[in-house]
Formats: sequence, structure tokens, C-alpha cells
Amino acid sequence: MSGPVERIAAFVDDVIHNRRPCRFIASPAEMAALRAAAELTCARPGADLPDRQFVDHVSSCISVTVRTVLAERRPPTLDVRDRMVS
Amino acid sequence: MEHVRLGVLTALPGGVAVGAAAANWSPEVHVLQGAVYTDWETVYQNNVVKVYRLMFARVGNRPDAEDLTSEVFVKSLPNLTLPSPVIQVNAYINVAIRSVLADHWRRHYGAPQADVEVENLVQPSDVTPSDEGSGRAGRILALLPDRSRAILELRFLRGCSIKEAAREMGVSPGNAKILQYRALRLAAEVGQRMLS
Repeated sequence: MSGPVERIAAFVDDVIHNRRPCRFIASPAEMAALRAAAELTCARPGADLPDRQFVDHVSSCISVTVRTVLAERRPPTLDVRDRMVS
Repeated sequence: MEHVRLGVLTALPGGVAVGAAAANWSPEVHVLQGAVYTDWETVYQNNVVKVYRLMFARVGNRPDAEDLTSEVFVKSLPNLTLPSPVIQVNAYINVAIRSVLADHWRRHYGAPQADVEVENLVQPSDVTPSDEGSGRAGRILALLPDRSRAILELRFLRGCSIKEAAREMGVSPGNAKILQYRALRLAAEVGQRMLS
């Protein structure tokens, strides 16, 4: 991509087709343009609503993570047999 | 399929909250001042749509919006101490949103930290999903000069390719790209003015 006009055009092509857009080091002017482009993708009604499967999937992932974290936080229990041995 | 178990919201003195604990049921949850979250499931269910929509409005595409949304929750929820006041949890989520978005812009577009602005869209009283995203985009388009609005409507509302948009506007594809770039910069200025 040769310049800002081309880079932003490629970014717009990607977002209007709901693809992960091209990455590039953006100038402040380009940043402003690509943020505006991102915002305008919401102009289509319903475009910004999450997929139900995604919502459920993340919920399952968090459930596993939270259970792991809570298990790690739980204070260690003293096993009576261990105490007797020591 | 609804299978997420919703938790219970309780209330502190001076506040009122409605909660639910039932599978296969999506109650309307009204979070009022003084309410507290007691479990992460309710935090997630009450905020996931708002966070996703905010992310989508910032990045403009589903794959990135999904990645960033899950990052916000997977990173922040396990570290929440519950029960916590709703207002405090919302503030915590806002901090996570800012951090995740700032990292996204910095990693993929080289944006310095100071350039990342995220207004607090996860407000304590903002519970039901609104049409804010499409409404704001529509208002921005409405405030643009005719030709700028036309090129952006062709691209974003009608999904025209740059060649199709150029044909509609009677210009070359090269000129359509330039017109689009200028229109987006104008839209950015209009959007900034609307925030201030």
C-alpha cells in the first residue's frame, strides 16, 4: 500500500466486509480516519450486536478461569494425618 | 441457546435491585444506585453486550471486537472481589476497556498511549442495550457535506465497492478513494465535536 489514501481504502474494504483489517503504522490523520471508519460501520442497524455463540463461548471460558482462580485463593486445608506424621 | 445461569443482585441500604437465579431465563435486571454484584455471571451478562458494542464501534469489525471483548472479561473478572458495588465494578470494567483498546491501537497501528480516548460507555445506569452506536454514526453522517456523506453512505450503508461508489458519484476510483479519505477525516472532526 503506497500512501494514506490507499491504506485507509484497504481498511474500509476490510471493515465493511467484517474482516480483520490490515495493520499498519498510522499517522495521526490516518488514525482519525480509521477510527471514523470503524465508528461508521455501526451505521448499519444491528451490525454491532454480538453473536449469541460468542457470548456463550466467552462465558464458558470465564467460568473455567474463575474456578481456577477461586481454587487457588482457597486457604490450604490441614490434613490431620499429615499433622500426626510431622 | 440460553444456558448461562444468571446470578443474584442484592441491594445495599438506600438502593434497590432486582435479581434472578434461574436457567433458561433472561430477566430484565434493573441496576440502581447502591446495588452490588455478588457473582461474576451477573457482571458478565449485564455488561457483555455493552462492552462488545463499544469495542465494535472502536474497531469496526467482528473478529477484533470479539477478541477485545473476551480479553476485557477474561482478564478482569477473575480478579474482581465480589460482592462489590455495581458502580465499582463498572469503573473496573472501564479501566480494563481502556487498557485493552490502548494496547490494540498501539500494537497494530503504532498509536501512542495518549491518543487513545475511550469515554465511559459502561455507566452504572446504562443497562439496556441502546442504538447509540448506529444513532451516533447516523448523526455524524447527517452533519457532513453532501459529497462526503454520499461517498460514506455508499460505502458503509450500501456496502458498495470503491468502483461501484465511484461510478455512482461519477468520478474515477482513484478520486473516490481520495474523497473517501477526506470524508472520513471530516467525519472524525464531526465525531470529536459531538463528544465535546
